[in-house]
Amino acid sequence: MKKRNFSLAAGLILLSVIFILFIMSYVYLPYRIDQMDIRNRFSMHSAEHLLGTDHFGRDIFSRILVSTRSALTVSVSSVLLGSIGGLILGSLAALSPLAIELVIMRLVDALMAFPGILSALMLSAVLGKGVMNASIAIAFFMVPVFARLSYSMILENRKRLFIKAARSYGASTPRLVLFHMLPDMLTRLITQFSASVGTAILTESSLSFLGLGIQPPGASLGLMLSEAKGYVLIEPYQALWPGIVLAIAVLGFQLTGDGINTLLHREASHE
Amino acid sequence: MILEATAITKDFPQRTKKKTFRALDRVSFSLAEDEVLGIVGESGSGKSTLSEIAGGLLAPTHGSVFYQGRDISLLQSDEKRAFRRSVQFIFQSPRESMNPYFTIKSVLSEPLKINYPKMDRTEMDKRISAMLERVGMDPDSTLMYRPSHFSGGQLQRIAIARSLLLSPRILICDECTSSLDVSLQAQILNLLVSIRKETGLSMIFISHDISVVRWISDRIMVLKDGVCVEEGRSDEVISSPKEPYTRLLVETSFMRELS
Repeated sequence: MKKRNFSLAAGLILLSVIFILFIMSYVYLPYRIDQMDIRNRFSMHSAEHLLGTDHFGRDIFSRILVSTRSALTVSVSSVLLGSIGGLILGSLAALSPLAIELVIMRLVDALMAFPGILSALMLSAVLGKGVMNASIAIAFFMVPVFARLSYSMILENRKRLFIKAARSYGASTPRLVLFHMLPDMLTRLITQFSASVGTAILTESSLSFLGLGIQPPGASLGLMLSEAKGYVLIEPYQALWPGIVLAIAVLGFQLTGDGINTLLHREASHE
Repeated sequence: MILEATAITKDFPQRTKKKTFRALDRVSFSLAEDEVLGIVGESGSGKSTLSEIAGGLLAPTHGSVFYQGRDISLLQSDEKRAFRRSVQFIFQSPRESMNPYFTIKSVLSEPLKINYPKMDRTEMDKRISAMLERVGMDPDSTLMYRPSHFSGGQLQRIAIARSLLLSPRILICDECTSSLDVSLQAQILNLLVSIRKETGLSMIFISHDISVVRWISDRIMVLKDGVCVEEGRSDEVISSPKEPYTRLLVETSFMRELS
């Protein structure tokens, strides 16, 4: 009997919600995100304001739509950057002489031992506030995971006979990594990629929450939560919607990563 | 002499212990043009290591390998590439020696692409098809499939085609028939013998089975625990082995044939 892949289905459904919001933010935005309506502060759900308004009377739904832009772009670009960096560092370590290998891998270990959010905080404090710098800061702490992963996979792959065969007819090391090892590594890298995007979204929100990511009057889920926290006792639903969307995004990517993983494992065991 | 190895010693570091493991201890051999040298030994005797050193895939700890009289560790990059082309391998497991993600077409065209980057497609395809036909495979029903589509014997033919595409001077066959059953072994051996007659290439033929080696080799070298215990003309080594170890190998292989 064919087993259902629950994680993948649930993950993809959650992700499609986020992507619909993301696309909608470009196609149909009910209000400008900085359009204030002071007399209508803290309004509840209504036909005019689908999810109500915040403490400046800004439309929460519009702000959430725009927030998905930064959540997706920052996280995907930072994980892309981090994974490429990690891949290069990991393969360099795996293919270098022992001394260089040890230096790189101990460095990666040290980075890994360092709490990710802390290093991202430190980096954005040094680099300055803003979307670009937040991406770089998040990318930086994504590097060790991908470096470790690609390092171990290359070590595993290097022993395979077709690598030796390719070397025997003159294939260069970059060619070996690119054409012979990468296809095999790609499946696990994609899994890690998806899971890491979830973490990156969370980190981007944390940075914005702490005032180091997206700056007001821009919109970001973290920033919205941060602004809502002052009113959480009197107007708790302020924090509700950004929180739910954030949870959907993170859960969506994590579950999709899980789902792809089981899918690929199942396919591998079928062969 | 096309290939000559003098006093090859190879030490492997061991992870757990400080001592190194000596896989080969001052082994020398020479290979003449149009000659087949058989190397026999049980697993762990260092014969694969020796073949990799002879083919330049592995550097010896001590000793040197000379190709046409020149030390291969001192070759410049162009000469090194020419040496790589001239010495080709056929490995024990053909299935594992091909990238499972590649089609046979890419498996066979990769060596050509690397070594003759300027060769045009039609010329490349022509050579590949001709070579596949030479080893007894039909190009039309072969090229578009992946290695998993074929049996071990078919794959070994394809592997032979791949190694011959670069027109090597030396072919190193490392246990290349061991993963096949007896009738296929004979077919592959016959193919190698006929290719050798046609092209006049030299071969190093490695196996744990002395009866297979004797079939194809002019000379035989017996390795035991990384040391060369006996070397000589095939018929002499087989009919009157000097070392008790060689005698044991000969006897056990005859026993196997009888049973």
